[in-house]
Amino acid sequence: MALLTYATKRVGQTLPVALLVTILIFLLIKLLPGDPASAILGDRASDAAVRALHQQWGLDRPLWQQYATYMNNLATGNLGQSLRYRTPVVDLLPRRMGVTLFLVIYSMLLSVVIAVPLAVIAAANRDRWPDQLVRGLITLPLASPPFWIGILLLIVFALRLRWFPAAGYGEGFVGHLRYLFLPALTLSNAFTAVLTRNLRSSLIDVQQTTFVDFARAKGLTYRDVQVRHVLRAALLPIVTLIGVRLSYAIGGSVIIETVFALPGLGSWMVDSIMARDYMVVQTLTLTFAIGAMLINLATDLVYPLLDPRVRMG
Amino acid sequence: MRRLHMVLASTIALAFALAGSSPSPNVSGQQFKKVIRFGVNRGAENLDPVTQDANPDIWAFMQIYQQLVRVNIKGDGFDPDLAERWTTSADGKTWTFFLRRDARFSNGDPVKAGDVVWSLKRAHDVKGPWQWALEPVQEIAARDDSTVVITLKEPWAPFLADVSLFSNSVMSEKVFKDAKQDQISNKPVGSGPFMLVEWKKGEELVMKANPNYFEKGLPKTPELHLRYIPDDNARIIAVQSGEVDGIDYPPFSRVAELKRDSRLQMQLNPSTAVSHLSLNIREAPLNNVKVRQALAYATDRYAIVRAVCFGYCTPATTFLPMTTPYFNKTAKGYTRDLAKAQQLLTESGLKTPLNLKLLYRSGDAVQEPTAVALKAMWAKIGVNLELEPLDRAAATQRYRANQFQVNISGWTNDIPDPSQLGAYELGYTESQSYHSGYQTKEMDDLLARGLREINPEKRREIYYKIQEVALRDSPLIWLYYAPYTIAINKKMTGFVQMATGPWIFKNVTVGE
Repeated sequence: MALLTYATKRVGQTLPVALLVTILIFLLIKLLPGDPASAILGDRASDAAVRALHQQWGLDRPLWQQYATYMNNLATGNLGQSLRYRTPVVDLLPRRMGVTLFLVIYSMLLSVVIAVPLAVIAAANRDRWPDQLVRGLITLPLASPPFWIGILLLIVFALRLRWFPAAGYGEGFVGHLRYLFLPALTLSNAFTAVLTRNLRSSLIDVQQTTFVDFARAKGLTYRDVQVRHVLRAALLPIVTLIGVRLSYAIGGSVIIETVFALPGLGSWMVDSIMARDYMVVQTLTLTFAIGAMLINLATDLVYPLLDPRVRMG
Repeated sequence: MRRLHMVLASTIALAFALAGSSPSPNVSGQQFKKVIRFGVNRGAENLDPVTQDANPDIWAFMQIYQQLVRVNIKGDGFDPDLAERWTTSADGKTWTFFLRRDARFSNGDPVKAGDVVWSLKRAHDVKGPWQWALEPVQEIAARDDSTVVITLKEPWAPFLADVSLFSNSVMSEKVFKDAKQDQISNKPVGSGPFMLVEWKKGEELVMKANPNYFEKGLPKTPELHLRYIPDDNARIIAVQSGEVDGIDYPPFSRVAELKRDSRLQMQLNPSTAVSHLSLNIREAPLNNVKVRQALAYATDRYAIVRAVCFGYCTPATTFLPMTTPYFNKTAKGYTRDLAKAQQLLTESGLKTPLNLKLLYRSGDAVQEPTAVALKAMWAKIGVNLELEPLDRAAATQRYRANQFQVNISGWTNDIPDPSQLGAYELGYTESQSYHSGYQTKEMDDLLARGLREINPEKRREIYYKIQEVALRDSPLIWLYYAPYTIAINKKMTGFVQMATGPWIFKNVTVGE
């Protein structure tokens, strides 16, 4: 019950933020010089044609009216039309969202799969060579820009070795797994590094607590203690970290999708900003903002479930 | 720790499993792929032939629509397309087109004269950038189901070229007569070699062979996918890895590398692309012709060709592309002459350093190095060039509002005739002479005569004169002629790109 109250309260708090986001993004894109009509019609368009499009799209009306229309449409579930493609945004959104969600979740899973063993090895061998090696290795991806890593992976694994495809995202679940492996790996790099470092120190902290001493004293084996008590307790702070990094990963997808030619939300966002496709930019920004808020909310809600020591205030 | 080893081992196993097997070796014999996959740097947005101005749209719907006549591959004449033959009356004012009877739209309906009349009338009436192409037309009528008669107000030299323009594509009257604009933009129905089956906007255009296309046995490959891959590097990797069979616009900086790639054929196709600078001559100091000439003399076109095109372009000598009829091969244009430039600048009476601003599109692989090179070149005669990089949409707005001094821009012909570029670049009505603001009686008269002179030799003289006057007045500074860059897999054969730009895929096969 307490959880429900807490959740309601949190959702209530996010709503005004979402509203603020809509106002902010609406004004920001209007502040940019350049307008969609001339961006779409090109250099050779006549002034009459540009004016006609402005009128058709309502861009000749005062800003507050445009915003009111936008909010009114939003309230009725109408996300507007892509000016550029003359297609409702809602028709284009699911497909693209699928690509980005798959990519982001895939990269998160890869991070966890890679980081947990590394961190456990490092923590178990604290300050000995395996630890040093892991700590050294993970500074590399942290210090390299993802687009560069992406291009290197493409050259090695797609061009030279031909193990993975170079562009697109494949058909079906297995196809996606295969096509998105390199992009997801690239996107996961920074998080893998952060996760390994954090998990390692978290493991070391937990190993030094009294309940671990107590468990050992009870006669539990080293492995049982590590897996059941240490790892479980150490994973808790990581949940928060995953929440925070998920938002980063959505941002990172903008670059990764460009490098790997993926038709996801990120590359669409860049394209739409360039074309001043107002409706798409507004919808995508709102989607990203709501996504980030939901992730934060989910993180807060999951935390007490995992750790009985945390109580809702 | 054993469990951890297992996690590691299974991760690696997963990675290998996903990696899959390498592509199967070549099968001997004539095995062709069912799909041509072509990576393009810009996606199509709208496939209405009449209203669209961007090449990605035009080149895509040119796979779907046919016109009455088409430009031949050499680009110096016209081949029959929907019209199998045509005649002109003695006074040059009545054109009669006889349609082939075996042409059908992809939905199976025959192409009739009524469709042609409806389409051309729409192209004539709907507001768009191509209305000039039917400007001299007085009447378009169907004599019977397979004869179209077009009456002109006066004899018009480039009329056949105008008819071949993509905006005069023949659409199905039945399908589009009462259609909303969205349907015309999104669901083209034509009689060309391919038909649109699926359009994933901003991602891919999926076309299939039109089963009713009149040329039997064509297109040779059943499907054509135009895949939008905006990032240059991603597009190149896609063709190198075999993910696509060909790509457009690899940048000049990568041409040498692609030429060395044994799996690829790097094409530098003759085009009608001219790169130039628009000078805003409405205001001082560029209203002074001596200043403009000085800038033209101070510009080292060879150096720009080396720096921007890595040597693959040709310095421009007139406003016309080299491949256009009546291009004056003997014109020398402006060759770099600093002393002359300096002298002209002194004669202009303006003090140096002279401050000028250059508007260009930031991050553009061609415009950015051009801007940097110009800054250095013009500094030598005391011009302080301030660079103003803006993103494309913002730059377009500034340019259209004439808020610029110098703007980097470029042109490609849409018809194999000099009249289109002449009207657009040197005649005020269409574009304020590329927004330079240039307008003189002398030029207007020459351009008008060029459109109406039927005798080719006299017409040549007129266009030679136009090229000369344009160079003298220099409302623009012409920099270089660029080829189209295309990289295709060597297994792909039959690909043709017209000098006006569109690709022809109907003869293409891709070996397995």
